[in-house]
Amino acid sequence: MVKYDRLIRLVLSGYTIFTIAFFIYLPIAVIYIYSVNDTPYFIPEWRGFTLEWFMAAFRRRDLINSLYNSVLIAIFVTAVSMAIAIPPSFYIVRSRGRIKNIFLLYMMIPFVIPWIIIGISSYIFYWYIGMPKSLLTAALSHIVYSIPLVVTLLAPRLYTMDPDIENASMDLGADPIQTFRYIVFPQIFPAMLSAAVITFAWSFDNFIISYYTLGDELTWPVWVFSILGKVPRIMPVINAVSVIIITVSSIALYIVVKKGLVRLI
Amino acid sequence: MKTEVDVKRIRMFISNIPSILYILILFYIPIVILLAISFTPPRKFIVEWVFTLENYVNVFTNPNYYRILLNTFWIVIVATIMLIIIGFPIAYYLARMNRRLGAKILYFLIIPVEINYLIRVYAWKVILGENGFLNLLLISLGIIEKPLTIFFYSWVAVVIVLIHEWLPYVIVPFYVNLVGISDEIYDAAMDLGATRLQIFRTITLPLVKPAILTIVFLVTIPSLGEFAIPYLVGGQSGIMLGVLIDRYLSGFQLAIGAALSFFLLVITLILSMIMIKIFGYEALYTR
Amino acid sequence: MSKDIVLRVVDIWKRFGQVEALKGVSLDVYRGELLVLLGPSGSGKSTLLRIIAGLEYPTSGKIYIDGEDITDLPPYKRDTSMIFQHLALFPHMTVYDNVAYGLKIRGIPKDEIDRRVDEVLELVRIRHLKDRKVTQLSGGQQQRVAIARSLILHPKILLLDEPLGALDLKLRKELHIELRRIHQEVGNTWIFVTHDQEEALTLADRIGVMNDGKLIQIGDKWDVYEQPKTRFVAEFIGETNIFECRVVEVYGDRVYAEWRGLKLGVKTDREVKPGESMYLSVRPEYIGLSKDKPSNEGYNIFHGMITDEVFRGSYVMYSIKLDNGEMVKVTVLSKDAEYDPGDEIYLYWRVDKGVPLKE
Ligand SMILES: Nc1ncnc2c1ncn2[C@@H]1O[C@H](COP(=O)(O)OP(=O)(O)OP(=O)(O)O)[C@@H](O)[C@H]1O
Ligand SMILES: [Mg+2]
Repeated sequence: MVKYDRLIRLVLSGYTIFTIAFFIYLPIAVIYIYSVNDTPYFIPEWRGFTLEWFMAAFRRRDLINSLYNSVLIAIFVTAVSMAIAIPPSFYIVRSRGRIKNIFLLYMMIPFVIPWIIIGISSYIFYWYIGMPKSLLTAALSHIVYSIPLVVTLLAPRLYTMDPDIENASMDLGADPIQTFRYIVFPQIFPAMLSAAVITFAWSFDNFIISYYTLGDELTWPVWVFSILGKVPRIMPVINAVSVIIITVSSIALYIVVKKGLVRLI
Repeated sequence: MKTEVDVKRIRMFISNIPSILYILILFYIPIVILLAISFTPPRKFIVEWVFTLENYVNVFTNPNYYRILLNTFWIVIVATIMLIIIGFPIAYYLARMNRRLGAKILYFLIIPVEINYLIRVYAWKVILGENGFLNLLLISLGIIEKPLTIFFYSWVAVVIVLIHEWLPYVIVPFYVNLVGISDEIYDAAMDLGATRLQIFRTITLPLVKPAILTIVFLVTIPSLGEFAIPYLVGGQSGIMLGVLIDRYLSGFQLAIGAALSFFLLVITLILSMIMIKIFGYEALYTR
Repeated sequence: MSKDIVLRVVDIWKRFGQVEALKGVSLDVYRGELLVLLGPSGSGKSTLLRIIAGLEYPTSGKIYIDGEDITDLPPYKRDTSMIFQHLALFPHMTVYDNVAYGLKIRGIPKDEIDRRVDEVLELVRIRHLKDRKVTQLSGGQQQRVAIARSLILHPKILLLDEPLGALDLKLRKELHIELRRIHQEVGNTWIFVTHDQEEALTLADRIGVMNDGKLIQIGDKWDVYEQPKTRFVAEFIGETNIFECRVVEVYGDRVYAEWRGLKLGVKTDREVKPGESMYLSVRPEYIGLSKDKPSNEGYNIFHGMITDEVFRGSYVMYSIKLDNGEMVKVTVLSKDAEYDPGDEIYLYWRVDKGVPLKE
């Protein structure tokens, strides 16, 4: 019995390590290796160590610009969607009945359909009303998805919050604004921070909606897409930037998780 | 007393107006326009406001579309099933081990997601491509003589890359459900006479059912609309609906593109409705 | 009288890494009795129960049921069933499905399952809840489901691991009565684990007291209560006064000891020598109070002053400061509680009510 247990555990651990290594980390290893391999081509051959691609990354205006645009959009999207999405999160958690279900469905449909539909309907919409595509249009379309995203991230936390605490606060003489400021906000702050981090990361990385709604100014994923396969010699530069991004964001993530500011699960 | 409640309700209603309006203007109205355009004749560069069902008739009769649609479903279903088969044992293993170590490994599962998936997709080319590592390995092992091209630019490549892309999103929901089952529950089942296999069938599987819902919303539905992966690695056999839609949109044949998009929308909505029927509305926002 | 032993636990040791959870526990359990294992948190009660159930494997030692060595049998081949601390009801199933689980697993025909489920739900009086989800039941109802789920298998031995721990006091008291009734109706052997001495005294036929991985004393519940062997047992079961004294004179089974300047009479079967130190336990309810100095033979009589009184329903507990400065607790039935703090008072107890303890 006990031996059997140990065997199962051994097989499972081997399987887990192999699967994670093959399916998840293999391409990451490739990206790391080719960010310092002294060849612009994806050839299975080691041509020596170089930091050239990291240098080159800083020299490329279009690349830096696309990263800057991505950050800009992500900040805008995060701020706007957080502000808009808090009331519906409360509403969904605090009420029940038919109207609430209809409202829930209304808010959630953009969340449960493929992003490409948001991209294409926006594309046609901007064309139809004659609005020139730009960073703004892309951001506006991101928010269509990020509002329900924030709702799904906040609602479970609100769900476990005792509404009587608010009533107690009001009973002690606080008005609704003060109650939110002193009672509700501190309670939902960790959930809000998590939601903000996830929304930012999502928006920063979104390709398909941006692809259909951007103008001449590109975001990082769309710029990458415009290079992929077409301008091979820039690929190692993209790898180098990826290495920087994953390193910086992993450390940042590690710190905020460690400090308990953000919960991963 | 009554007025107090009413005031609260009104305040709640007013605070929800921005979100309602936002989603209306930037989502539902565009969808209606999309729907309207899908009923106009298939023209290039212009939209002719005449009602016709031509595009939809096409979707169901043109063997070319038909093939791509089936291909899309095939790829997504295979990928989802593979993901569940591959991901579940890992989640199970992580959930049954020391809580802290499990959480650490999960962290390492999530990290790679920080690199944009387009770049990760492209890196697969070095592994699976004609001059890639896999071919090199097989040749040096003497299993094949000439590089094989079936790994790349094929539906197999799309499935592999989809597995890479979504595996963390499958493991995490399973993990969350599995750690929720206390050891006592397993002990109780064993004490009542269940064998390992019976415990798995009667306790573990039913209790992870909610994870399936999350996975359908998180993985299956987005995959149905995937464009970049089949575009980059799919080749002929890996073509999917997203590629087709993009082809028409890039050629500014809006009507056909709109019809195909709307078709995709309906499919995903039906899928969502089935999920809501099974799991209830609350499933949309509680895990 | 010769008793029929159903379960025999022989010298069980259990080590978890660095922790020695059980250090040589041996125990005989009689058929049809309700044995309560009592001990503080971490004393190894759950571990012992889990080893009996087969959920844990002992580092050494043997378990016999009806003379058969079952140490190596997996849980599903043992004639035991366990009720867990958190009940471990299957949350995705109805009451019926939970209770029927063990029978379904064994491939029993549906109509027999139905019959037996009805029977056992009748026994625990929740037949009307058959089709409810277990998550929609109150704590007490869930308790009954857990009991039914185990009893339906007619286990020779039912193991209960602090199953009432999560309930409030009133509900616990109700369930104590129910549990005794069910035990009597079913007639099988129960081993009930708790760290609540009151619960132990209410439920048990016999009590086994555990501490630090060892079974310290086991016996009829009143024997354990009245004749504790160690200071730990005396203090753990019920309230008591412990007097740390020193033997001064020995006359057969009659001993005189000195306790902070006062002279105490003690009755003991043990061999003691003058100069030896000794702990004496005297239960508060065995100490009498009187305004006038009593003159009874065979009593210890001391003078002191009441400093505090606490009402505890049917009785009152007085704290009394003796002339030598030591505090003594005394309980008196409420109807006889006619004293107030500040009163000068005599207290007395029969010499044989003081129990000398092995440390
Ligand atoms: N699986 C385990 N791994 C490591 N140590 C364990 C394990 N189970 C129990 N222990 C340790 O063994 C000792 C006895 O634990 P046990 O659970 O039997 O105590 P208990 O008497 O049931 O306590 P409680 O009243 O708190 O339930 C404790 O020190 C505990 O930490
Ligand atoms: Mg315990």
